[in-house]
Amino acid sequence: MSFEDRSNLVMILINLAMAVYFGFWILPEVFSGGYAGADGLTQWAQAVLLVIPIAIVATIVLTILVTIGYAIATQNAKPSEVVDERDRAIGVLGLRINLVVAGVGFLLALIGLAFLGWTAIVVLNLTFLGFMAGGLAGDVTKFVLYRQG
Amino acid sequence: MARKHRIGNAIRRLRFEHGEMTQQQLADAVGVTRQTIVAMEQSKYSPSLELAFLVADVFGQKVDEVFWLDKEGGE
Repeated sequence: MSFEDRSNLVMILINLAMAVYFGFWILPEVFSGGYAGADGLTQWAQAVLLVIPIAIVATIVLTILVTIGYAIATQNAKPSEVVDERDRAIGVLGLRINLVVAGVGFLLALIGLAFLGWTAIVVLNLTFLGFMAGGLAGDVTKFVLYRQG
Repeated sequence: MARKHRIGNAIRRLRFEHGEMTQQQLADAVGVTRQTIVAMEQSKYSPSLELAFLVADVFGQKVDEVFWLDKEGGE
């Protein structure tokens, strides 16, 4: 497993954890009208912003743990940290998938806002979901490409 | 990643002929990951021109003696 492959695996786990947080804490609150008040958008933004520092710390900790685990499993005290042209090519394909999915989410949110009478909180959630799904789709694409060659 | 032709190569044979050089040793020599060498050997990844020249240089060969357009799918 190359350095970028391991890093990508960490990002998949972080994205899944974010999806769980969003699905089990944020969305139920949205559907139950928890953010319907005058300061609902502010509360939603605070709840979502909380994820960023936690995700950064979790990424650092998980990266260290995965590196240690990989070093033990392969009995290689200093796993390679080389990033090469194949990593960059796979990264570009993953980013392309990421942007397409996120773009579809944003487009759906705009359509809902323009023609379906969706509220701002629903549109914000859909946009955020689009970015999250895009990140996950891009990382899963990279995971598959690393195994296909 | 569908494409019309693959880039065939003689990397595996050349490694063998150069003292059974390991994939990791070749990877270190040209500055890529071992996984990239594996993918190139299996013709699953087509290297950049720069990487192709570097690999050929390690074996003291011309690029077209190491890589070729493989229309049939094997060396």
